[in-house]
Amino acid sequence: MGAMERLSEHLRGRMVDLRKAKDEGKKIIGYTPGGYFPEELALAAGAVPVGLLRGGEHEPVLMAGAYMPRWFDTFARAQIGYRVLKEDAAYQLIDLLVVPVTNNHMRAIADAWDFYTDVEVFRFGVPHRKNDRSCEYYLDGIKSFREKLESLTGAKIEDSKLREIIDLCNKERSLFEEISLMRKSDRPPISGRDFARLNHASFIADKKVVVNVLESLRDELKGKEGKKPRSRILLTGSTMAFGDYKIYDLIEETGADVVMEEFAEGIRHYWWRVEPDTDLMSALADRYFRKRVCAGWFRPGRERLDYVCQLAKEFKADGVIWYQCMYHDCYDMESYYFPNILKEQTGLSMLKIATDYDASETGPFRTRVETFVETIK
Amino acid sequence: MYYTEVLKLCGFEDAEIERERPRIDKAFERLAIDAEDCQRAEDRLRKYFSVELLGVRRCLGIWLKDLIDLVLSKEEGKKVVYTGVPPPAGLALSLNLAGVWCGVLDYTLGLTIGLIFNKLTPLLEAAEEHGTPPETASCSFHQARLGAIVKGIVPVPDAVLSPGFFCDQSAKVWDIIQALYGSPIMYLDSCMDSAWDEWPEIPHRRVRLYAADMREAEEELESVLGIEMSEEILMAGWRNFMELRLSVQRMIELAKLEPKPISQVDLNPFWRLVSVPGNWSLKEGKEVIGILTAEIEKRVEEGKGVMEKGTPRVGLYAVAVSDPAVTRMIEESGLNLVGPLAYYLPPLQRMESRYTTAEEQSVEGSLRRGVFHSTSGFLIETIEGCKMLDLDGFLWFSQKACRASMPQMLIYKKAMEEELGIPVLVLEADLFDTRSYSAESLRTRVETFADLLRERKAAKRA
Repeated sequence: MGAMERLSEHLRGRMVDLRKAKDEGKKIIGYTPGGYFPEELALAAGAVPVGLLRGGEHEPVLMAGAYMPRWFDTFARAQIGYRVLKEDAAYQLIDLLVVPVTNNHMRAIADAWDFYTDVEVFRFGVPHRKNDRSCEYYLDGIKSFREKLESLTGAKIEDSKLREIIDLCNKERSLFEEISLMRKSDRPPISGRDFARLNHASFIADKKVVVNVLESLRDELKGKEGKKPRSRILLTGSTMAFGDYKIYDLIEETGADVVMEEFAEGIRHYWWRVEPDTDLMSALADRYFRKRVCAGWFRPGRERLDYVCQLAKEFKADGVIWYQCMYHDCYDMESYYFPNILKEQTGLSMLKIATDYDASETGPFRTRVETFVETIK
Repeated sequence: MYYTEVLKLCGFEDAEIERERPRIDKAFERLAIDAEDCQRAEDRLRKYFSVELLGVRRCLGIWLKDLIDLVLSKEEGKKVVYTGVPPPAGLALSLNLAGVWCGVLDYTLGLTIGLIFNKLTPLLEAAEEHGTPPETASCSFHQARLGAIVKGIVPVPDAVLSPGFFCDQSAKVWDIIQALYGSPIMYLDSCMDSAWDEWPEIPHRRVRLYAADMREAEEELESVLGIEMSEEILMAGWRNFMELRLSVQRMIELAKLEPKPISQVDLNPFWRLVSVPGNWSLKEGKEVIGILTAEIEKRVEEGKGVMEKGTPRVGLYAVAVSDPAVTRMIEESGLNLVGPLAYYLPPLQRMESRYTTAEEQSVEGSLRRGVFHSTSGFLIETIEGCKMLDLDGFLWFSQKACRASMPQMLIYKKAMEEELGIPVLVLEADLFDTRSYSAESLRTRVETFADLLRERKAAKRA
């Protein structure tokens, strides 16, 4: 059985495993997948972290209309929708929802869950600038989260255990990076869609299984050559949710492929490691807040925009597709002035697409993607 | 001149108009305000406002003078600093004391170009061509600001004080301005991360971060603007702000009386004098508030009111800023609007401060308002306010596309109906943009709501 099949097999039984773990007294910690949740802490406390990152379907968005105004971004609205629809076990099993409050949309998720569900919600803030006092703020937040976990699980998080988990998570990051870098090849051995699915799986699957699968996959992909894409696309934007693969499909239908993606939410960030040679909590804050390239709601968000340009050059992209959730205001605004920066730094063009996870979008999106791919190459 | 009458309706004296004529001519030319606009403004002011009250006229004049000063600021050698919501009001007033034009541009435009001249649409359309197209559902407050700058009717700022913890979009619009014009931005940051049950506790971490940013901003402003922000001037700004807040208290008490002595339409520009004060609020705000307070007192003594005693009392968080027709329609439907509730503060907001510096007290002051604290804080504060004011209903007049101050209408409605047992109407509308919502489009719902409240009130009496 290949690595990807093994992962699929594990995912098929994952909810049953979570149910069993819960019955055995383990705490299931749900979290919003914006990259600011230090899962090392949850794992070190003996809890099971599960990213709530489903998206791409319209029904939860419609359902959310009774709970949230329509001006919140599609992904945020969908999160309360999945809970009330009761179709995804992950949204029902969690004992605690952790929301690193990054922006108004994430705050809305926390509010909706606090008010409409019986799930306890824990929030900590993610400031919008990078400096020492902002990092200190984030550090304070994750320290409170550590205390919360210890009281919830009844287990003290020992440094030795935390160090061990940090190593495991770093290994996962290294493997993701190694596989991702293979996409620099003219004939990437893994498609953009498969990479996204793999990345998404890592939010839900058991950490050791993920690391094991990634090791096997890396070995399988070494030296392998895939199809030469007609055009190499860098995909960026606000959110790439688990299940929201329409844009990948449309790009692949044109013969192009996504060779790199940069998203604030939904895609695990793997470029940076936790360096546990100092105080472990500070090391986590350093990795999650300081090193991580900021998201679009940072002020100003220039670091990310320059970073996207850098990725576009490194991965030899022929064009950039900006894929965001509808009404994600910060991304809407950055998408206005980013094309000039992109053109100036790379000479590339950009296509913007905003989704409301609606099936009726597919036709117009297809026309726009096809035209874009035609235009760039 | 074509604008003489409208200026008189805004409290200008003849001699003042004569003296200021060259400046007014220049400013109106740049604002593209012509005879037709002034005729429209005149009709509008006479139709909707109690222009027989000097206080009302002078208050409108304060906003107009702020706009004229702003438009001419560059050629008159004045530096310009824009800020946002929640405004660091003490610091903003300190900057004005230091000779800088500092204010919340959104409101300056909304209360003049919008409220007086009904001419915001070209600004909103300009903004839609510069990063906030209609399909993005951008807030019209920010669009007005962006549109005015890109159209060149107000100056590109010398600096921006961007309070970004509350509204992401507000901060991000300044990033567009920076991308277009390179304006330096001083960010005042924090996080809306208070736990659901944390209100009214104000987390020290939030105060500490924001206050530190404010201190840094003060230093940067000194170097960017070439001014001195001494301790004295900072404290004076803060003191002036507190005095303004206090000066409005008597007016609030009078506005609560029945029969209601004054319309919300007239009060609308007054609330902003104290919540988003600028240079003319500093110069004339207290005096003008005093004038209107005396005029209301006289009406009370004479038993005069703008609606019958016993009219259902309906709480509200916000009213349309730029369209008086909406508020007038609500009142004509037979609803006594009580609010905006933020000004009718429950006693718990008058706790003693544990902070000593101007910056910390300023942040703490903002966070004591539920809306800037958390969704739950806002909800509890609103519920307590409704109880205190013994309201018959509540009307959430919402800002379309707002992700910050009014986002959780559905939560508020459900919680308030359950906790208070009063009907709550959510009106999706817009405080600035009159293109999608008008008094007539909202009338049926408001009238039905008013009927419901009247029946409930009658049933209660029976």
